[in-house]
Amino acid sequence: MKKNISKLLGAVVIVGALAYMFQTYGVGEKLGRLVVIMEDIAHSLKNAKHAYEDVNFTISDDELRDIDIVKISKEMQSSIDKKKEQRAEVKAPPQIKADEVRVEEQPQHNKTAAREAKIVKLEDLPEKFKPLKQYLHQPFKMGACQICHDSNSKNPGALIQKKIQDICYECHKTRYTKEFDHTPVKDGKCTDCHDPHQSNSKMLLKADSVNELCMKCHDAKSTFEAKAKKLFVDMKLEVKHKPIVEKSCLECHDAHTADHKSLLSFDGKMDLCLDCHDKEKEKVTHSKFKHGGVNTSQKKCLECHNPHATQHKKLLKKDPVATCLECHNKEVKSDEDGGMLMNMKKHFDENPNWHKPIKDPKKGCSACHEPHGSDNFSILKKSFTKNFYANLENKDFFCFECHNESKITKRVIKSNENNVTSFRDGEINLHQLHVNDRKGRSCRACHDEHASKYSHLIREYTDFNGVKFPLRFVETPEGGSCAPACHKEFAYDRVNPKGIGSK
Amino acid sequence: MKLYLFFLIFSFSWLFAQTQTSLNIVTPQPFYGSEENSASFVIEAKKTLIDSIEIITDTNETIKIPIDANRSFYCKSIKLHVGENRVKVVGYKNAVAVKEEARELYLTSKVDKEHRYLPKEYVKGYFHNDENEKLCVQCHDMSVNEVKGEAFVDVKKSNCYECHKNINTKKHAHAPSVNWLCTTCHNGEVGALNKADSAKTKYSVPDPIGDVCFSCHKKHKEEWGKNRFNHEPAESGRCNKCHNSHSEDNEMYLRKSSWDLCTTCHKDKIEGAHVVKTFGRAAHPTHGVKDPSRMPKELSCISCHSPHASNTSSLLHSQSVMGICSRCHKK
Repeated sequence: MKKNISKLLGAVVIVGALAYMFQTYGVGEKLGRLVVIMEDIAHSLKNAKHAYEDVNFTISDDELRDIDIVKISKEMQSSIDKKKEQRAEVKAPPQIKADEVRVEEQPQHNKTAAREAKIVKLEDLPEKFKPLKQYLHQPFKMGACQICHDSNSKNPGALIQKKIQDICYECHKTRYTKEFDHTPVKDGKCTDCHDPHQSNSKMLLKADSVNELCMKCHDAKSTFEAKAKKLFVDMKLEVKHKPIVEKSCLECHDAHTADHKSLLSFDGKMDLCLDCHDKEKEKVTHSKFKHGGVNTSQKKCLECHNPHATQHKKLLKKDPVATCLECHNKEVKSDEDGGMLMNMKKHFDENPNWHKPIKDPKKGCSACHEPHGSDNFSILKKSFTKNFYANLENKDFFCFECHNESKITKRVIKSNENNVTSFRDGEINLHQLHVNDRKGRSCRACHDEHASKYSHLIREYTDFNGVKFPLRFVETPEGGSCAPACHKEFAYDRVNPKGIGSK
Repeated sequence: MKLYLFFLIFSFSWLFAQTQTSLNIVTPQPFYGSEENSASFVIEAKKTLIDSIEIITDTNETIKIPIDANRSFYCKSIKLHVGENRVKVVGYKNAVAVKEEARELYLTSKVDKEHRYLPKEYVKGYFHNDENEKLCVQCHDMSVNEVKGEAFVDVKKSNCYECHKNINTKKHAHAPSVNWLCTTCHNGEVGALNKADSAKTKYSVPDPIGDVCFSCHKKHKEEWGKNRFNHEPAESGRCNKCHNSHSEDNEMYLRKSSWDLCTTCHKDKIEGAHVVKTFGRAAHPTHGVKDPSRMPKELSCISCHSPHASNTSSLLHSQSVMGICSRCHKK
């Protein structure tokens, strides 16, 4: 009996525990769901269609014709070739020869021993040398006339040697060591520039300053000698190169002899200029994109600049736009990608509406382009895009230096904000819609950044994948319409909206 | 006497010829197979025998052409529908039908298995050959006046426009087509699959067309080439299987709306549990509802699958299967 009671008690406890579990863990509900699931599976197994259709293996002649057997065989061949290539041995690169090192020979200069000479006292000098000037030639100061003059001659000023240079070089032996000589030096006419006795300027010059002396011959109006025109420098022009004004011609030129043409110590086309112009040196030598006008042209810096004096700022040969069009008056090969750059002169001539900065006489093309070189394509001063499509997320385009970004970011523009953009259909900003809505399109898709026949610099043709599509832009007093390749003719109107934004 | 007899026979035969050619359809030839939705009818009519022509299509569209005293050839572009078309040409004299001729034409469709290929009795027709154009030049300028790489400012100035304007009437149009840069694609070349067209027409299009398409759509070629999985029509360069390169009412110039288009070939996906069948018995929809990942567009095959190429098997848009679910089921 006791056993039975304990069994019963045990059974009650188990049933109770089961009931509790049913309650707390929702086993009943879960079991119910399992039944539904099983039912579903059974239903699906019974009724669901076969996942794939029965395949009909008969192929008609037409379908067979559509199968490109040539292509399949080509693909197989190419994969075989690829594997063969992988197996092919890699050739060792040819060894690079060591550069030959050349040592330049340095000219030797030996000082001549002092000469013994009969001394003339300063008081005994002829009258024409009085009063004495600031700087005196050493032999003259010493009264050692005999170093140069022949005292036995009947003529008072007779020289000991026929040629002056022979006398000078007796002491000044450092000449004629470099490739190019100043013509008077070459001709032995030392006394053309230097006074052998005395002068009020250093180096015994025959003028009060170096520049004055140089301009005696090199002035355009000088009649001193009929020389080639290029030797003349017109220093009367408004804009002058600073070193000439503040110092002298000798900042760049050597008066006697030099290793480079025009008596320069470096190559005058560029190296000499970059010796001082550090900023430009950085641009010219280290920028990613270089201007062909500086980089590969014949005259380098001198293509655009005059090193002495001009009428235009920055020592440009002509006014800013004209200087650029000097070369860009035809299609020119681009240094960047080898493509052809458009004929800008023709473009400006044909299209009367120019982008404002270009019309600025101080800036011209250099308002946007950096003529010495830049890390941005087309040597632009700041980034832009070449592409039709462009993500405007970072909005770091050069255009926004001047044009307000709200032009492309604001969706709705109230009529009192007319200055933001007038490309609106009612209050819907069509700039934003075109440029910043679903697809980013760059400014250049519709605008010509240089010049156009149409107002707002709207392009006549937009280039899309190498094909020129006309925009067919027609302007009306309060709007306009376009029918480019991108869409059919759509019209917009600021006053009576045509409902473009809702499309 | 002999001369007299000769004259008699000659005049009889001339008269006979006159009655015979009161109305003559020069092109299209009988049982004309076409791939484009319009056909040019060139009708020769004798002004002495008839005074008006009527072209009646099998959809009962009637086009009347009055006879002009100065010409003997009349042209009209007739719109075709997919499958067999029967076009009647009736010549009238004083409002009485004098002569009736008919032509059977067949428009094939690349996305309709029933009408994919021409029935046996039909022969593919070609229009732009020297023989036909000899007639056309009497009135039309048959030269290509398109400047390479530059679209017409006024497209009506294209010499192609007048006869082919029907092809660009639909809602979405392909830029080269609607700008009438026809020879961009109709370059007169043939591909591996349409060698039969060679030399039969001046303006054939290579089949497969891929290389022509990719000459502009370069980015796609690059992108798709990098992918592991490719959709066969895209890979084999037969873009025009799905896209109509002229104009279509569907986006992307698809020949049918995308769901209908895909299920033309993938028939097993029309019914049944394609995406996932839950225990609630209703399968995940594949169309007919809005697509949360591309609002406000409708759900379609292309919501999940890339129709061209992908790095995920089944050409999914995402990196993994679960990724595709999370495009819409964000939680």
